[in-house]
Amino acid sequence: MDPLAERFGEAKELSTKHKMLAVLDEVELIYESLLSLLASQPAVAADPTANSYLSAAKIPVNPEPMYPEEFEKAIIELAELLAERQIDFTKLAANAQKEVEMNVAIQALVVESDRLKEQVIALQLRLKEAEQVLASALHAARQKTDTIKAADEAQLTLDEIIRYAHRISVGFSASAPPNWLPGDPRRPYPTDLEMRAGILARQLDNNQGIPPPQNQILPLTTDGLTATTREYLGSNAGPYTMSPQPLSQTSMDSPKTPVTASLQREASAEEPDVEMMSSDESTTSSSDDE
Amino acid sequence: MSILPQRILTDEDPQRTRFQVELEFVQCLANPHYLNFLAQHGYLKEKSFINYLKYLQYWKQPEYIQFIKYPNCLTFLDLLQHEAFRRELANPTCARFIDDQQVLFWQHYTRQRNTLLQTTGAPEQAKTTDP
Repeated sequence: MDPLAERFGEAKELSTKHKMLAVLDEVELIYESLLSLLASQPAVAADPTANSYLSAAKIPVNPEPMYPEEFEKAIIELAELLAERQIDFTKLAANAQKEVEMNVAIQALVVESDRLKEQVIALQLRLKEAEQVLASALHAARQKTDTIKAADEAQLTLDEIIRYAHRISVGFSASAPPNWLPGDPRRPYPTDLEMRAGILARQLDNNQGIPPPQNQILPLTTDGLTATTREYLGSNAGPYTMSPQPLSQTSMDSPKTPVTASLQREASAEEPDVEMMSSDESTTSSSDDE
Repeated sequence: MSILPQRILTDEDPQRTRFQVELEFVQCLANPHYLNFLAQHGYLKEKSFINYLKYLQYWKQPEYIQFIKYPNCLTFLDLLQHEAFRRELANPTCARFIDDQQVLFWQHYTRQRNTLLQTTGAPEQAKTTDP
């Protein structure tokens, strides 16, 4: 064990500063014992200047008889102790110097590590942004490939697509008529009237004996079908007018069965629809008949 | 005078009848008030009904979709596959909200077109009746 550790025993963890101060305290004690030793000599006790210094230092002047050998021995012992303390002190000073240098290096490294940490965080943010952009791009690309695959499988011709587009536009089911106002009964879904006019209501009527709605749809011939469809179209295509059969259901009535007259329109030729539509004031209806 | 409905029901091919019935029903799903009615009467809770809704998804295929006049119904059909949507529909506020949004969306294209016609001052008559 090094001499410092021996000397300080369990107090190894004391800082260098403490150790140096402890060494200085010991040096002070050594000097005090040296001075008291000197003070014990009769020759010194007799000297008035020495007396005044010693009394200022608060060292009692008590001449004690002492053998010269003892005196010498004591002086030599004290001198040796002093030398040892000197060596300790210089070692500690060297240690302190080293510690200071290490501290400076540590500070520099801390600054460097902070700078690098900031760089890493900045890179991390950029990486995250890039990941987000890539993820959204990937998602969009995946959706695109899915639609492409579906379109390939569907094998639709342009003709069919246009025909269907015409079908859903001509009856204003996909977009509103340009002269639509609140209060206009037309809707993007089959209304009550249409629901009651279709085949489903009549089916349930016959099967389960449900009381018919207030305005029973009359049985129709093929021609009559077209005429009645025209009536319904009239109520849907133009501004709402009172038809010969007053249909006074509100939309909050509980319709018994789902029914759509639009089916009948599909079943019959499309010409009546187109005729009705072209008689509209609307200009968005397609006037180019097939 | 032949009575068409009975002819449909008795003499016609039952497959054709079923086709017509299912076509009508699936399109009625586009009506939020009707959906509210179904929800309030507990139809949307029945397992058989839910299975039927799942079965009806065949209307999305191109060979069937060409008969659909109200394409909104297919969106609602998809939504109806989810339990949460079916539960919410019992609430009349929900049905009214859906109706409002649906009608507003329906008007969206027309409104845009009107605005475009106004701003470009096209020679066609641009009706300024914005609903």
